[in-house]
Amino acid sequence: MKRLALLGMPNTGKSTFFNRLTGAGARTGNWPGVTVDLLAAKVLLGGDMVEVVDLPGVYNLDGYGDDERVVREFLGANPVDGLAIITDATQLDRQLILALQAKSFGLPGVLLVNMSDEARSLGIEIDLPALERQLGLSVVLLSARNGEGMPAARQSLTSMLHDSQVQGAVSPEAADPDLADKAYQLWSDTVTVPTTLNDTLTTRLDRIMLHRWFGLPLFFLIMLGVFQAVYTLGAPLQDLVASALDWGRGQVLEPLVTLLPGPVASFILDGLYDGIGTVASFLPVILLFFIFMSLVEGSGYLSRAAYLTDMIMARAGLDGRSFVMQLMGFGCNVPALMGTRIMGARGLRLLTMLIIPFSLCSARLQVFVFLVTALFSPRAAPLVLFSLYLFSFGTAFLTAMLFKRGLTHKEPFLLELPPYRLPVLRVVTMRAWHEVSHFLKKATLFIIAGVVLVWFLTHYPFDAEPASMETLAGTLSIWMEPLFSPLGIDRLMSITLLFGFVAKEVVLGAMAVIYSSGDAGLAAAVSGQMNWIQAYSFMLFVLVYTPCLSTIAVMQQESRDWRYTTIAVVWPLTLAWVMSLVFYQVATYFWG
Amino acid sequence: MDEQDIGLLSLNDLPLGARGVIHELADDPGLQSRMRALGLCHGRIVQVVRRVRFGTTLQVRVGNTDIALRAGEAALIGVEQLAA
Repeated sequence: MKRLALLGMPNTGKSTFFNRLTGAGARTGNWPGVTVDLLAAKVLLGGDMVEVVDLPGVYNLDGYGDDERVVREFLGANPVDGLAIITDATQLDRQLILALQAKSFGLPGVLLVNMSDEARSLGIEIDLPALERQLGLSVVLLSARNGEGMPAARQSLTSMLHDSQVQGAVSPEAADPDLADKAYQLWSDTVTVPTTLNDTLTTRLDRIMLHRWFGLPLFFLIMLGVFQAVYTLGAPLQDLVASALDWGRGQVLEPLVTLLPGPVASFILDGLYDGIGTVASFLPVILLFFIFMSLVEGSGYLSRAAYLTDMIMARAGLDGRSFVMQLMGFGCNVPALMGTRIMGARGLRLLTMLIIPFSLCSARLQVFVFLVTALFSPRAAPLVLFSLYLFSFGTAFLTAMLFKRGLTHKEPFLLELPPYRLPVLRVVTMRAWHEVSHFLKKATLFIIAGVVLVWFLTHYPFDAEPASMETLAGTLSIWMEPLFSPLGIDRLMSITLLFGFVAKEVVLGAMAVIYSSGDAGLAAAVSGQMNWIQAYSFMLFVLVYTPCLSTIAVMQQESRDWRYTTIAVVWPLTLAWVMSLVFYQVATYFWG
Repeated sequence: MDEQDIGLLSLNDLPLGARGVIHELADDPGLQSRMRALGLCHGRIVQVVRRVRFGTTLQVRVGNTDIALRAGEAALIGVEQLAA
C-alpha cells in the first residue's frame, strides 16, 4: 500500500483537508521513530488503497519545535511515497518555503493551495502555470472548507502516487539557508497581491478583540462563556452517566454478584466497577472541552488570548496559552492537561501541565463548600473559600517559578495570529471524538488499577469493616500518623486523603463511611471531630496534593516520561505537607 | 554599507504604525528559522500594528501574516524605518 503524508504549516486548514480526503475512518496510532500519536486513514485513490498520514503542522523542517522534530523523525523512519503540501493561498509569501524544503528531500509532492476562495476575494492572483513550472510540482487550487477543487486534488495526488518510485525513508537534512529568499522570489514572480490588503475582516475584528482597554475584559468574558458552556452542559451529562452507572450497578451487577463470595463481589462492585465509573465520569467534560476549545482555536482567537495575557505569564516562564489552560483547569484538570497539546514546545507544555493541577477544580470545590459550611460562620465562609482560590493561583505561580529554569529556559514567544475563520464543525467534532478515544485508550487501565488498589487498601482484610482502623488503610494511617498529626489531620481524616487520591468526588462519601454518619449527619459529625484550624489545614492539603488518579494518568499519557510524572506527584505532595504544617502550627500558636 | 549609515533600529523601537525594512534577524539558528517561517526575512517590510496595554508584547504584520512577539525577540530584529 502506498503512503501519503500531509505536510503543512499551522492554520492552513490541513485538518479540514484531511477530513475531506479521508472521511470518518481516521485513527490515531503509533509510528516507528515518533513519540506522539499521529492520525492516519486509509482511502481509495484512483483504485488503489492509500494510507494517508496527517503530520503535525510545522513552520519548517529544520530544527526548533517538537512538532518539527516529530515530522523529521517520521519521515526519517517511515517510507513515504509522496507528500501533499498544504498552504494558505493568502500567505503563500512565507509558505512556499515548505514546498522547497520538501522538494529538497527528493520526495514527490503536490502543492495544495488551500483557501483559494479567500485569496480570490482579497484580490490575490496566482499564476498557476508559472508556479508549477518554476516549482516543478503540480499545484492545485482548492478550498477544503467548501470542497472546491477537491476532485482536482485527488486527481493530482493519484497520479503523483502512481508515478512515485521512492525507495525507503528519506533523511531530512539541514535546509539551505537561502531557501527562504528563493521561496520569496518565487512568490514575487508568480503571485500578485493588491496594494491595499489592510482592511480585512481580521484587521477590523482585531481592533475590538485586541483593543488596548477592552481586549482583556473581553478575553475574560469569552473564557467565562466557554467555561460555563463546558461545565454547565457537562454537569447534567455527568449526572446522566452517573445515574446510568448506578442503574447498572443496582439492576444488573448487584443481583449478578450475590452468588459470589463477599470479597469477590466487593472487588467487582467497589473496585472494578467504580474504576470504570471514574473513567466514564470524565468523558462528557473531555468531549465538551475539546469541542469548545477547538472552536476557540479554530476561530483564531486562542493565539490572540495568548497575546493578551502574555504579560501575566511571561514572568513565570509560561505563555498566554498556559493561562487559558490554567483557567479551564478550574472546571476540571483532566481536559485542561490534555489541552496543553496545542502548545508546540515540549518544555512549555510540561511546565503548564505541572501548574494545572493546582487549579481548584469543581470536585475539590465540592469538598470545600461542604467543610466551609460545616465549620465556618456564614460571614467568614466566602472569605475562606476566596483564600483557597488565592492559594490555588499562588501555588501554581510558585511552582512555575521554581521549575521554569529546568523546563522552559529561554522559550521564545513568537506566535502567528491567524486570520479569524469560522471553525469547520466536522473538524471540531472529529477532534473531540479522537481526544475522548485517546483518553479511553491511554488512561483507562491506569485509573482502574489505581481504584482497585485503593479498594484493596480500604477493604483488606475482608472481615474488617471497610475503611476502618482494622484494614490495611488503617494500618497505613498509623504509620502515617507522625506525618499527619503535626498538620492537625487525624488518622480517620488521613484515610479520606487516601480516597481523595482516587478522586476528590469520593472524599465526602468516604467521610460519611468513616464517621458512619450518612450524608445528612455528616456536617455535625465532622464539626464535632475537628476545629476550624484543623479543617483549614485539611483543605489546604486537599487543594494542593494530587487532584486525582486521572490527572496522573493523563500526565503520564501526555509526557510519556515516568520521571516527570513522579515529580508531578511528589512535588505537590511535599508542598501540601509543608503548607498545611506551617499553617496549622502558626494558627494553633496564635489562635489554638 | 555600514549599518549605522542606514540608521538601523530594533523592531522593538519602531513606532506604532510605522513600517520598516528588515535587515537583521536573531543569531540563534532555531529562532531565526522560526522568524523566517513566519515571514520575518531580510528585505521584507514589517509594520508594528499594536502593543499590548500592560507588558511588552507587540503585534507586527508582514505581508498578510500577523505575528505576536515579545520585546525580547523583537529587539533581535534590526529594521530600517521607512518614511510614512
